[in-house]
Amino acid sequence: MKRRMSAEPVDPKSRKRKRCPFTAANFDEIDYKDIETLSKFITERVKFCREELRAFLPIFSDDYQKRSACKAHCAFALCRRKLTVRSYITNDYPYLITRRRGSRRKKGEIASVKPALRLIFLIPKKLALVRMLMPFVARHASRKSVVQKRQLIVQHQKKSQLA
Amino acid sequence: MEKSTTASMLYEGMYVLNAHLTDDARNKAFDKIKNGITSRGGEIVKLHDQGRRRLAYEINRQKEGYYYLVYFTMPTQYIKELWQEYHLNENLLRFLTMRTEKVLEELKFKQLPEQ
Repeated sequence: MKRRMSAEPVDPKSRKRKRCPFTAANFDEIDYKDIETLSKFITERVKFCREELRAFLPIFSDDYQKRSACKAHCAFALCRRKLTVRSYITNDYPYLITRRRGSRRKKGEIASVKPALRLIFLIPKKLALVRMLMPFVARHASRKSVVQKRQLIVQHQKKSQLA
Repeated sequence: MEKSTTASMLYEGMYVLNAHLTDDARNKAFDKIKNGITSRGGEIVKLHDQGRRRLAYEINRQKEGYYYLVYFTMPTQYIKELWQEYHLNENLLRFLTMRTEKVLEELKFKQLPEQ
């Protein structure tokens, strides 16, 4: 077998590494009102959830992924972008409630949210609840935040056992 | 704890109003929103009229909406009341109130350099 040789050998080290465009431009914040910038990275009718967003925006740094996901949801809420979201975790996941939600949920309580119900948490009807997304976003943001969240949950479980 | 609820914070609210309304009716509906803020001890800092825009998806079989962006200060305790009032407003299609740190004088954003 003869191998085809290209005219110019490609050195893998010489390839340009992709950089997050936001960190390169030293962006302070991604604004949900800035639809032009958001729409460069999110297509019109893309089905994505937070996990997929990571794959979808591979060149984003962790921090900007987290922010852009949240802002994209804000833009969706205000009818500025189309967005289809589906539940992204199949198994129930312990969810630390940061705000009181209805009569059943209390602040500081740990609840497991069913996959179907997660849709409600992801796109709340009451748009004021958008801030509730933050724990979800933070969970995927970095390994460190995941560890912190688990520690919180374990601490809470211990407290409830003692009580 | 009491201080945090009574202290007035800077908020930005984006409101999508029914675009089928006449100018007078829309102004009335928007005045109702502004009165809701001022009557609760709030103050409107800046107002951006973004005009009629096409919606990304239909809301109540409507394809267009009239966008307003309002920066206002407000005691935190009354925000919940405001939201309840907004939900009862039929002409208000969507709204979003978020806490901010700065007021944008012009809605111009930094552009990404072309690669």
